[in-house]
Amino acid sequence: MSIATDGAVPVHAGGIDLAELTAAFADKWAGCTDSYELRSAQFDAGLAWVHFPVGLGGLGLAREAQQLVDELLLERGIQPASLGDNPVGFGMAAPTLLQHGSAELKHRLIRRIFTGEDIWCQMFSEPSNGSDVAGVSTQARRVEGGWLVTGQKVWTSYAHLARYGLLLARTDPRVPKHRGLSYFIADMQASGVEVRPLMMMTGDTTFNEVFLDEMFIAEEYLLGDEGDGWRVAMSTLMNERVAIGGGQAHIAQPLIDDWRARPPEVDAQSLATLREVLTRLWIEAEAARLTAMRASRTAAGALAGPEGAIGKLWAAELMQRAYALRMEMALGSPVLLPEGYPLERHDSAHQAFAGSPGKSYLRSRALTIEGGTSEVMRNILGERVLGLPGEPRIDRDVPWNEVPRS
Amino acid sequence: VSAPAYQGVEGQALRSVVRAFCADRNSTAAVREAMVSELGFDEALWRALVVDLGLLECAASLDEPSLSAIVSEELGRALFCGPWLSTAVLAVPALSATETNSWSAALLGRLRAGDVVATVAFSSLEQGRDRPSVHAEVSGTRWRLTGTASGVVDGAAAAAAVVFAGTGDEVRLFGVDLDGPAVTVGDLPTLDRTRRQGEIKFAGTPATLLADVDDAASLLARLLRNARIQLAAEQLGGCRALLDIAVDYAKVRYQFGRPIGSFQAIKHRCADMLVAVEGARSLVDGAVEAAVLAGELECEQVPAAQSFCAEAYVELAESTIQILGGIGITWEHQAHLFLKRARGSQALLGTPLQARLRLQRLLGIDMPGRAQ
Repeated sequence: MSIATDGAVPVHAGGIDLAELTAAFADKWAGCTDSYELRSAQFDAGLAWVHFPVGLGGLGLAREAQQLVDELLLERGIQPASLGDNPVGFGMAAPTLLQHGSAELKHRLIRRIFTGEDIWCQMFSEPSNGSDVAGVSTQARRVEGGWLVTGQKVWTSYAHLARYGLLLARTDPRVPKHRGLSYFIADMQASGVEVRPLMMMTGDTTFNEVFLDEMFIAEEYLLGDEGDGWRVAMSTLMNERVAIGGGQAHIAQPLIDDWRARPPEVDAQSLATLREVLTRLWIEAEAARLTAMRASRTAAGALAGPEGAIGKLWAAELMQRAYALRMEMALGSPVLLPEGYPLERHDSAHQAFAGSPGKSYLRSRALTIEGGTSEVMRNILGERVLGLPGEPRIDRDVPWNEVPRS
Repeated sequence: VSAPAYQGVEGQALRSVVRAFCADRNSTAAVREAMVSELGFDEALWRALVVDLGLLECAASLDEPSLSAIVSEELGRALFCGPWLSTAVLAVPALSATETNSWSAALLGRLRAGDVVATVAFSSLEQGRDRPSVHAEVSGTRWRLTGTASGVVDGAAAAAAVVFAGTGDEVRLFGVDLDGPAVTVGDLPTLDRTRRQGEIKFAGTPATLLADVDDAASLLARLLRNARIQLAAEQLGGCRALLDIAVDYAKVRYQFGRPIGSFQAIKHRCADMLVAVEGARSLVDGAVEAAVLAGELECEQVPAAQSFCAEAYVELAESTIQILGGIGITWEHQAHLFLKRARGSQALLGTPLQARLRLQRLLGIDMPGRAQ
């Protein structure tokens, strides 16, 4: 039930002297300005994800050793690769491939994720299936040598940049929903794939809609067995939560820095109240930060457990409070939105506290919805961590094509 | 970098020893019996903890709070009502730091034998007052104390007290035998009967000087910091016990034909309790680690843990009672014992609000317009 506390990682881990290994690597590569060359070499040296096996970017060590490797490399002038370089690739595709991919797929695709050659996207959600992920309507029809896929996906970050997508589709509509799903790797350059930007209330397009019209997927791109897609998808979703919630930045510290640079210009009583609200937020954010650190230390290898939902739930709600407080601290100007609403595609990734208080606030409303709503997170914590019984389900044993839907 | 002791084998072994001890000898029935007894605790049980388990030893050092934090957490989980906080967490380190004084050394010997209980009177300094509520006067080399120290943990049961007392802005540390002349001790009628608080009235009481101004100031800061970590750990233990009580009940209590834990209203409340418990655990660990690294300095994680754990304990107790429904508001169910302990400990070493005011100073947001 609780996240265990592990010790810090010794420099000698699993019989490998990480200090020596990183030093030798840095001697050779510290001056390299070609990101592809550098990341290729890092992957081949096993310093990409040290908890992955040898030959697949790792050394077969514990996950927490990566943090030490990143620190050692940084000391010697090599910037660690970050999730932001290829979020779906790093956070979801690589661990899912590692767990469920064939040897051939692992060796062909995982390296290209780390080097940045292939950006990935994830296609689970549909207009009719948000929290009810297993209700997927997109159909995959068996044909010679593979499947033809038809349907519509939504909330697909990076789809317009992606070479591959993780795809959940229905291969059998006549069985209950969880049993009729299969999990594929989709070639986003195949014919029958159309990507359109989705305009958000911020006026930005951080997401896409993807229309699939008889897109062909070859046999070899099935992950897990036909009909076993739900189990594979669960491992991706758990990794997604670790990726989203695993950020170890202090959510309230930027507000403290703002305050120290320029305290809100208000009367003393208002200032005291704002200060109390900010201090409470700082304490909870510190608790969340330390909890995320503990969780990342103990998430064994490439597996992530339902405890990852704690980080996702907490970080999302704290960030919403932080952005709302930032608006209150910007007294006088919270109604200003200097950036305006661009209403066109624009590729800058979301960065915490970038943009005006109003813009960040609007963006933050998505945090408790995307990547699993807070309600779903609380269900996961209640049912899978605490062992509380599930809600009565009316769709569990009914063939998918007989379940009522909107 | 080596793993902190509390995360290692030693810490795990200690945790299971204390847990087994509590399971065996500190049942809810035993707690109920002890809390209505004259002293407020079971002397034989305390002696077993001191002599058989030797637990006072891990509380002696103010620089290594990690092992005692494990004991504090496990005792808090079992709602142990012996004098752990007063004697082990407060008195033993204060006496160890002044052991060159024969009064301290003699009392330490008696404490280690499990024969007596001792406490520390902060004389309201723990509540953020600048000046102690007990006044010290010297004539030649003989010190005498005057004034009242209130909210003294286990004050009525203690044979002796280590007292912070002062003249003006100067604070010194004294030892006082509570069965001696010119001192009276009373038990306060507090809400939490599982941990008594007393009031000590000094009327020209003879006292032994244990630490002069500089040493006393340093000891005050370190004692309080450690005690706040220990109290937060105890509150974490209570939170964990409450989460278990609430979740276990939500699984077996049926209404409308199904376990109440299957309703999201209950399930989501339990999920929020889990998040609070994990956050409390993280802050206690963080405060322990920070205190080891910070040496004499104050660190942000300590007031953060104090504020968070104190409030989380009350919230978890209130949530548990809500989830229990009718049985939760009876004398028969143990939930009220936790609620009362949570309330009784919330402001014991300063209020959560005062902790946040200290944190604001550490974060540098206490003054308007303060430069970076």
